[in-house]
Amino acid sequence: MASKQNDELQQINQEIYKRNLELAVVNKTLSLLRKLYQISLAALNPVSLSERMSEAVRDDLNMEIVGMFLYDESADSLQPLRFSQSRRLSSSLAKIKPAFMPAPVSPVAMQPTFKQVIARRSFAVSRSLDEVWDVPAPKKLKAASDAANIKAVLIYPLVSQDKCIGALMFGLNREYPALSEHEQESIRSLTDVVAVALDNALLYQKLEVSNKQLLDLDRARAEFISIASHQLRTPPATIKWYLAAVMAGDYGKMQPKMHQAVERAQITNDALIGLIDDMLNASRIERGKMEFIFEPSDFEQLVAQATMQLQPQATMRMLKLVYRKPSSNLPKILADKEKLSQVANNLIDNAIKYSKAGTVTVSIKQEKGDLVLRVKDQGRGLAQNELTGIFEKYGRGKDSQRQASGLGLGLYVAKVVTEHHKGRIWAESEGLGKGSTFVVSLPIKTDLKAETFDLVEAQKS
Amino acid sequence: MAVNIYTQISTRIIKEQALIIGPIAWDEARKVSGLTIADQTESGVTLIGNPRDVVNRLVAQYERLFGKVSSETCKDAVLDLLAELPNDQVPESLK
Repeated sequence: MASKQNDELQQINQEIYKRNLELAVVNKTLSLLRKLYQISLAALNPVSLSERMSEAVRDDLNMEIVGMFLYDESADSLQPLRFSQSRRLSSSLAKIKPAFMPAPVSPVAMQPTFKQVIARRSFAVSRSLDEVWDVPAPKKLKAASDAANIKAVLIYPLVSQDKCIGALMFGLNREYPALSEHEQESIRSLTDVVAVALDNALLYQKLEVSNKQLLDLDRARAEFISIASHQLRTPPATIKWYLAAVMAGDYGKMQPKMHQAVERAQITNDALIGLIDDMLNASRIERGKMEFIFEPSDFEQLVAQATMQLQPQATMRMLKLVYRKPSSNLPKILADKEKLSQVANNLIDNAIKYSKAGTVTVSIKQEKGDLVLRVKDQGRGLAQNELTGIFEKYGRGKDSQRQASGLGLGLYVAKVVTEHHKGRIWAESEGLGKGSTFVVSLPIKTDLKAETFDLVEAQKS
Repeated sequence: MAVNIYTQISTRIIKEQALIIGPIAWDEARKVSGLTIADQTESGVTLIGNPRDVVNRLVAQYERLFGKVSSETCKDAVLDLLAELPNDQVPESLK
């Protein structure tokens, strides 16, 4: 009776063992898949991906050789990536002269084993490495393969998005039929993961190349804009000089009508110069060539001057441009005068451009440790989703192209300049049609030093 | 050198069994005469006496409890290591 019970227990024990064995294979597969997934996140180019994945699979599954091929459809060739070999196989292969190296397979159509893998997308089994590669000394390769205890070489197609992108090779120390169903299944699943990871790595590689090309193009464009802008700036700068002389009466007294015409020409010319300056500054920023020279500066005076200079423009557009002088003297700040003037100029100029009627109010005051400039208009206003985007390069507000000329660089330049003064710039608006206020807040006390702003490096860090 | 590979074989077998049956694999291995386990690493496993006999006893210990399948598992786990040994040095239970 006891013996019968013992037998039954033994049987149950063995049955549980079999189930556990299956679970152990599944667990191993899952653990390896997890490892492969982690590798796919870290290794972003096909060669290092192949190196690390082959190593992980060979190590975990105690295989003799694991490696990847990349399929080039146009050339019908398989290029070996990296192969991981056991020490035993490496030392066996080292004895072969000339030295054995995993060679490209080309054309695939002429090699039956690989043809089956690539064309039919089914896996192939060979008994030895010499059945896989055409080598000058197949017997030596077979001897090395046997010495390394390779009993089967499995080659699986790597298929991703219904396209064969390569092949995965395993050299086993067991014959294929000796693998359990679970082991065969686990090899298949890891092949799928490797295929997706390789596809992603290839995609990433293409993206990297495209990105580099785009960066090169962008630099070339910035260089071009810089050169073109310099050339463009010379004529209006000369015109400005002559117009100023004409207005000052250096060429005789003008009739009021002529005075008005020259004044308009001067405004338009100044606007053109401003536009070219923005382009130049934007291209300087892009090329990392924008230099800042910080010195004690009267921000209030810079703002007052910019307002005064833009007064004729406002008058021409039938707008009131009001400057609210601060009630007390404001402290000087460390600033790049020329660049801050341009910031003030851009904000006021924008307010004029985007207003059809009403008043543009410019004010500056001290708020705790900051000097705060506000340019308020009663123009088109900004929608909530435009409040931040307008500071991006070429980031003009919706419909603004129809309303005013410009490149969408002014606010971008203003933002970069403000931030390099350790300040902040932002826009406020209650919505479209409700006007807007642009605010620049600059800290009074800073430890700014002369610098060249390198955007390229800034983007890297 | 030869002893070292039998230690590797024994450790690999125990670890493989542990994946299937858990820590009990180490408890069962401790019952095998000629096998001492200080810790669950390769350097913590020592074989005393004829190493082939020790390995045979280890495989038999698992087979006694879990049947023939377990000795197949032992074989599969160490196939690459067995390739290092001449045929007459391979433990009978793993042939």
